[in-house]
Amino acid sequence: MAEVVLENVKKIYGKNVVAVKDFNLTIKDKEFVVFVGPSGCGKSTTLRMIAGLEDISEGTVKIGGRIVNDLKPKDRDVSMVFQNYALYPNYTIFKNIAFPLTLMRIPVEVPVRDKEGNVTGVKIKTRKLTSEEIANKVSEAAEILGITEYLGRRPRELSGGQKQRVAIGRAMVKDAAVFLLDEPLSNLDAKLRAQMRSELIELRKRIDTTFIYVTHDQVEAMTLADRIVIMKDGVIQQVGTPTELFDMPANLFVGEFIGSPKMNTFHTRLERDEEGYFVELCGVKKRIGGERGEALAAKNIEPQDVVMGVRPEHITLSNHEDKEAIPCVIGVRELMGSSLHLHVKTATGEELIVCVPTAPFTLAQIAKLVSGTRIYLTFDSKSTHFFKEETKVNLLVEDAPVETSGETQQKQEELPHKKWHRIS
Amino acid sequence: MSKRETMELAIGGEMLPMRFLMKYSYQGEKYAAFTPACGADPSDEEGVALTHIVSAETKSKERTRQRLLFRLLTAVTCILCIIPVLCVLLTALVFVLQPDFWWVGMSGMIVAVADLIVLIPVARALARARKDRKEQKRRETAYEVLPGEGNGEVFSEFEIRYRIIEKLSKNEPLSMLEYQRLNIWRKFLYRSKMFFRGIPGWFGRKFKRLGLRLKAFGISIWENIKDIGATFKNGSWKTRVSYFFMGFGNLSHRQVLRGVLFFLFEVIFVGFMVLSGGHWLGKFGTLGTTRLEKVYDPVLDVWVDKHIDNSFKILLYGLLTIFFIAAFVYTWRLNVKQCRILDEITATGKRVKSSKEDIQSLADNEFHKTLLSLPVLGIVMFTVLPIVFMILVGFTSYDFENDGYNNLFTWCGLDNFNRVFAFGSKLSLAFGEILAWTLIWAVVATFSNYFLGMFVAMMINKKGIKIKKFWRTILVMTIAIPQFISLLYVSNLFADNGIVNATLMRWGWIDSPIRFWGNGTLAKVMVLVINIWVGIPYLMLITTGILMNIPADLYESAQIDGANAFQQFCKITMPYMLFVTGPYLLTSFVSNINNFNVIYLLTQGGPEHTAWGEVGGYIAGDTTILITWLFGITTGPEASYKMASVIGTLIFLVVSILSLVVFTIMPSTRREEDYA
Amino acid sequence: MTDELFEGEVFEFYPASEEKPQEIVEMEAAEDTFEISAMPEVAIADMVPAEEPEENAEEGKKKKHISQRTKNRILNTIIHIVLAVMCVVWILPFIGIVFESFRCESTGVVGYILPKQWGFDNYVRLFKETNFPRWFGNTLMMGVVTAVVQTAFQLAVAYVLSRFRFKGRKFLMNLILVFGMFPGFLTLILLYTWMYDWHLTDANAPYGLIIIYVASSGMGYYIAKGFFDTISKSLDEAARVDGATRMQIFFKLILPLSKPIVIYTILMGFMGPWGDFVMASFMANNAADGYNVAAGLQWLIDTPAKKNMNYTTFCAGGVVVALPITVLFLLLQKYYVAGVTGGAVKG
Repeated sequence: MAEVVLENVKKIYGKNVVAVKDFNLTIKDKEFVVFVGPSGCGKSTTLRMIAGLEDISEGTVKIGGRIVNDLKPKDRDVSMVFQNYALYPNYTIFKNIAFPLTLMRIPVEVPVRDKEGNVTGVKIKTRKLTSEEIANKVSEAAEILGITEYLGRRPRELSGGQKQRVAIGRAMVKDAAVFLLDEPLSNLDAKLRAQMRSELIELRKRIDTTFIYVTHDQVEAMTLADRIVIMKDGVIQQVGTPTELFDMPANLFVGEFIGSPKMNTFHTRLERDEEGYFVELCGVKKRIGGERGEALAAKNIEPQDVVMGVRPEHITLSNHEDKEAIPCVIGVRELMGSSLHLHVKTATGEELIVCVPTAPFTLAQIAKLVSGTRIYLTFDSKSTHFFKEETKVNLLVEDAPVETSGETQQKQEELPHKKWHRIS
Repeated sequence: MSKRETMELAIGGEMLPMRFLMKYSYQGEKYAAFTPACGADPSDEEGVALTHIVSAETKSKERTRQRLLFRLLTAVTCILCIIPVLCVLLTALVFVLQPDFWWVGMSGMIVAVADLIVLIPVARALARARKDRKEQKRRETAYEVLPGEGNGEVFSEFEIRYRIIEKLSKNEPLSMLEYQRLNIWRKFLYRSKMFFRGIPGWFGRKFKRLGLRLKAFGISIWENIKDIGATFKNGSWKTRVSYFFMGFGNLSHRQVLRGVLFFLFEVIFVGFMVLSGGHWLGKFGTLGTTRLEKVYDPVLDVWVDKHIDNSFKILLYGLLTIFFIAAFVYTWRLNVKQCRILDEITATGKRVKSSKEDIQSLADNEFHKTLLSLPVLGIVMFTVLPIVFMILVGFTSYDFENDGYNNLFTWCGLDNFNRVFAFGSKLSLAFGEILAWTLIWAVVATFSNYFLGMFVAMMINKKGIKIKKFWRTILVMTIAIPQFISLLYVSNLFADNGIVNATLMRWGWIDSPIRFWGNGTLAKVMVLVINIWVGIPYLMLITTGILMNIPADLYESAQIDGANAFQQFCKITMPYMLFVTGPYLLTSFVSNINNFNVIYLLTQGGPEHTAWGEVGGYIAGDTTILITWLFGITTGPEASYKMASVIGTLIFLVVSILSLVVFTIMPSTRREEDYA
Repeated sequence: MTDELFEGEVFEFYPASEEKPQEIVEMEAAEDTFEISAMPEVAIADMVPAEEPEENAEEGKKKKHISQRTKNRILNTIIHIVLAVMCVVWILPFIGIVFESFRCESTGVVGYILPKQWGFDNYVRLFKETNFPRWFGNTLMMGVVTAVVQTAFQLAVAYVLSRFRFKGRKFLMNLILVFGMFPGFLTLILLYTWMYDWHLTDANAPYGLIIIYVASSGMGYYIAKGFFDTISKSLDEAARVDGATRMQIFFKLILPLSKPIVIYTILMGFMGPWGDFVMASFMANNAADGYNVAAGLQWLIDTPAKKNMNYTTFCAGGVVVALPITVLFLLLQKYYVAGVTGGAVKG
C-alpha cells in the first residue's frame, strides 16, 4: 500500500558513534525486503528509525510519499513485530490483539446540516471503532493465524511459537501500510523457526502490504525476501534478489555471508594467456572457461592478485586422472544426512569445506570418506567468484562498496583487558 | 566389539590424529627442554628459579655464594643502622633522666659516630652486591630464553616467567594469565601495589574530569550568552520585543498558552521583586541591622516599639528570592531560545505547534514534565531549600538567644566550624569521640546484621527444615510492629528495675541490678545487640530472595568439582551476595549512620558524659551518635541551631565521602544502564 | 609431490557414466576389512578407564552417603532448636507488651512478666482518660493521605527516570542522591517555622506533617524504578507503534504490571506516620491534640513520674496500634517481600 523511501539516512549515537551511514533505499509497494547482516551492523537501528522508535540523525524517511521524520510511531501507519514478542502480560490474547484497534480512530463523514435540517455539506470527523468491529477484526486475524482457541488465555500460558503468532496478529489487525518485523523468529527453536518461516510465506500472500524484515539469519533472508539488503558496519553492501546475491556477490563479505557453509577462498593470481584466463591452485593449473571466462574477457580484466571464492556445494569429488583436480586429505567429516560436509586440507595447507550430496554414493563409499582419506576435488569454472585482492570487490560488479575494516571489533577485543586492569 | 568401544574407535578414527599430534608435538618439543628448570627453588628470593638445564649445577653454586654474601651484607647493614639510633636514644635518655652519668651518654655518641663511619663502606659493598645479583639474574634469564623455533605465539614456560619478572620490576601491569601464575602471596602483593599505585591516578582522573566538567560548564554559559546576543542581533522585531516582554514572540506566533504563561511568570516575578524580593535581598548581606524602632502611635499618643528586622525571615526569604531569580533567569533564557526557534521555523515555512498540540504532547512525548512537576517542586521547596538554608545557618550566630526576633543574628564566617575543630577543646573532643563511635556503630551494626541475617536465612532455607513459612512469618511479623513500641519496651526490659534485672535478682544470680544503661561500654554493647534483634528479620527477608536467585547449577557444578558446604559458601554464595547486595550494603551503612530510632528510643544517647561539656544545654553521652547529638542540640533547653547545622553539614560530608569512595570501588554500583 | 605428504587411504570418485577401474571395485568389495589398528594408543588408554577403582569409589560413596545422612539429620535438629529459640526471643517482647497491657494491680514498670491481676483497666483508661482516640484518628488520616500522594509521587518519578531520557535526568538523580544524604532533622527548625506561619503546627500538626511527609517523597523512587527497569522496554515500543501515548502506556500497561510495587509503596506510605516519632512530637510541640500515636504514647511515659503512672496504658496503646498494622502487614506480606528484595537488589 505504500512505498518506503530512505534518503541519506544516518544514525549517530552520542557525538561520533555512527551506527548507520548514508542509507539509501527505495522499497517498492508490496515488496518483501529483508535487512540482513551480522549483529551490530545497523539493520535493527534502520528498522527502528522507520518505525519512529529512534530519532533520525540525518536524511529523510518517506512512507507513501510523506516525510515521516518528525511523526510519532502511531502516525506513521506502520505496525511492528518484536523479537521478544512484546506481548502485554496483563492482557488476554484477545485484548492484546485488540489493543491497537482500541486506540485507533477512523475517519467518518458527518453530514453538516443547516437550521432546517437540510444537508449542506460533509465534514470529516474521527471516531473510535465499535466493539463489534474490533471483535470481527480480531477473530479474522486469529482465524488466519490459527490462534482462535487461545484468545481467552494470557501470554504466559502460550508457547513461543504461539506468542509470536499473537504478536503477528496484533500487527496485522492495524492494516498498516508497512509491516515491520524485527528478528521475529530468533527466539524460537530451530524446528519451529522453519515452520514459522513457511507460515510467514503463506501469510505474506494473504496480507498484501509492504514488508520490512530484519534478521541475522541468511537462510531466512534467502527464503523470504523479494529483495535482500545486506549490511555491515552501518553500510549497505549489496541490494538484490536472493539469486543475484548468491550468484554475483558484490564483495567478499557478501560472498562469505550468503550461503552455508561459508564460501571457500583462495589467495591466488588471475593470469591470462592466449587460451583465456587461468589460476594456479595448490600447484594445479585451473582454466577459467565458460561463462565466467567470457565475462572476464568481455570486461577485459587485467591479470592481477585476486581472492577466488568457490562455494562448498559447487565443489565435486573427482579422481587422480582429472588433471585439474586438487588432491586433499579429509580432516573432519560431518554427515548431515542429505549431504556430507568434509573439512579438508590441501597440500599447500589451505583448509576447505566441501559439501557433497550423499545421493550419488553408496553407503560403503560414504563410510570410506573419513578422516585421513585422500580425495580429489574439482569444480566448474562457472561457479567461481573473483574479488580484487586489495579491496575485496568483485571484479565483475561495478561500483560495489569496498568492504570496511573491522574497527569496531577491535575495540571490543580490547575491553576485557582494560576491565581487568581496572579491577586490579 | 562392544558398542562403546566401537563408538570410541569411530571418534578416534575421525577426530584424533590431527588434533592430538599437534598437541603432543608442541608439548614434546617445548616442555621437555624446560620443565626441569622450572622446578621451584622456593628459597630463592624472587620466588622464581630461572636456571637452564645445561648449566644448572655450576650456576646454582655461584648463585648460592652470591646469595649468601648478599644476605650477610644486608644483615650487617641493618644492625649497623639500628645501633646509632639506639645510641642516640640512650644518650638522650641519660641526659634527660640522669645527667650525672653524662659519660655514658658521651660514649654512646662516640659509638654511634664510629658505627656510622663503618657503615659507609659496608653499605657500598651491599649496593654493589645487589647490583651484581640483579645483573646476573638479568643475564641468566636473558640468554636462556632460547626456543629458537618459537613462532611468536606459543611461549615457553621460561619466556612467560621472564616476562612476568620483567614486568614486575618495571611496575607494568600484568595480563590476566600472567597474574594467575603468581602465588597467593605475590598475588596479594601485586594487587595491593596496583591498588595503591592506582590511587593518585584515580584522583588525577577525577580532578581532570571535574576540571573538564567545569570547563564545559563555563563554555556552555559563554555559548548561551553569545547566543542571546546573536539572537537579539539577527532576530525579528518580535523576538527583540520578547527580550523585555516575555512570551511576546510566542503570542505573535499564535502560541497563546506558552506566551501567556511566560508573560504571567514575568509579571509575578517583577511584582514580587518590587513588593518584597528586593527588600529581602537588600538585607541579606547583614541579616538585619535594626531590631526595634520607636514608632509614634497617633491613636494612643505614645511611642511604641515596632519590630523592623527579623534575621530568620531575612535569611529565609532572601534565599527564596535568590532561588526565584535563578528560576527567572532560566525561564527568560528559555523564552529567548524559543523565540529564535520560532523565527527559524517560520523562516523555513513550517507550521508552528499550536497550544492544543502543546497540551497533547504533555500527555505523550513530554509526559515526563507532567509527571515530574509536582514531585520536583516538592523536593526543591521542602528538601533543597531547607537544607541550603540550614547549611547557611552554620555560618551565622543563630541560636536560642539570638533567634532573629528577640535578638538579631548575623553572619559569623567559619566561627562555628572552628569551635568544633579547635584542637583540645571540650567540643572537639566530644566531636571526635562521637564521630568515632558513629562510624564503629555503623560498621558493626551493618555487618553484624548482614551476616547474621544471611545466616538465619540460610538456616531457614536449608533442605530438610520444616515449617519454613512459619519461621519466616514469625520473624517478618516483628517488622510490622512500630519500632517505638518494641524499642521502648525493650529499653524498660533492661531498666534497673526492669524484668531482666528483677528476674536475675530473684534467682539470686546477682545482688544489685546490672546497670545496662548506666555503664557506657555496656550500653554500647546492648545497643548493638538489640539492633541485631531489630535488624535480622529485615535482612533475612532480603537475603532469602537473593539466595533463592543464585542459580542452582552453580552449586551442582561446585559439588561435582568437589567443593564442600563451607567452600561452596565462600566461593559461590558470598561473592554472589556481595556483588548483588553491594548497593544495599552502602545504603544500609548510610542509614545506620543516621539511625536515630534505635539509639534514641533505647538510651536517649546516655549515659551522659559531662567531660564533653554541653552544647545548647544538651549533654552528649556514650551511645550518642552524630544524628542524636544533632537532635539533642536542636531540641535542648538552649537550642544551638548554629551548632546543629554545623554537625549536620559534617554528617553530610562524612557520609558523602564514604559513599563516594565505596561507590567507585564497588563493581556492582556501575550498572545503572544495565537495567535502564 | 603430494604423495609424500599423505599416508591415508585414497578415495577416487568416478561419475556413474564412466567405468570404474578394477582396483576400485576390488577395494569396495574388501570394504569390510576396514583397518582399525591405526588408532593412536593414547586415545584408547584415555578413553577406557580401569574398572576396579570405579567400583571402589562407588562403595566409598555409599558409605559416605549414609554417614552424611545422619550428620544431616543431626544438623537439621540443631537448626530446628536454634530457630525455635530465636522465635521465642523475637516474639517474647511482644507477648510481654500484651501481658503488661492486661495488668491491673499496678501501672508502673515491674520486674515480672505475668500480671497478678488481669483486666481491661488499661484499655479503658487509654480510651477514656487520654487523647488516644484523637491520636489514632490523626495517624490514620495521615497514613491514608500519605499513602495515596506518596505513591503517586514515587511512581511518577520512578517511571520518568526509568523510561525517559531527557536533559537534566542525570542532574536530577544526582541532586536527589546528594540531598538524600543530609540528615532529615536538619530541616526541622525551618519547616516548623514555615508550618507555624501557615498555622499548621500544634493542634493542626497532622496537616503540616502530611505536607512534610509527602513533599519530598519523590526522593524514595529507587525501589519502584528498580522494578520498572525490569519491565521490558520493547513493551513500551510495541505500544507506541500500536498508537498509545506515553500516558496511556503508563496507566494502561506499566501500572497494572507493577501491582506488587504499587502495593508495596502504598503499604510503606501508610506505615510511615505510625512509627514517626521525631517529626510528630516536634511539630505538635506539646499540643496533645496534634500528636500521632507514636508521639502521644511516648509522651505518656516521658518522665519517670509519668512512666510510673502510665506504663501499662502505654503498652495497651502499643497493642492497639500494633494489631491492625500487623494484620495488614501479614496480609500484604507477599508484596512487601517483593518490594524489599527487589529494591535492595536493584536500588
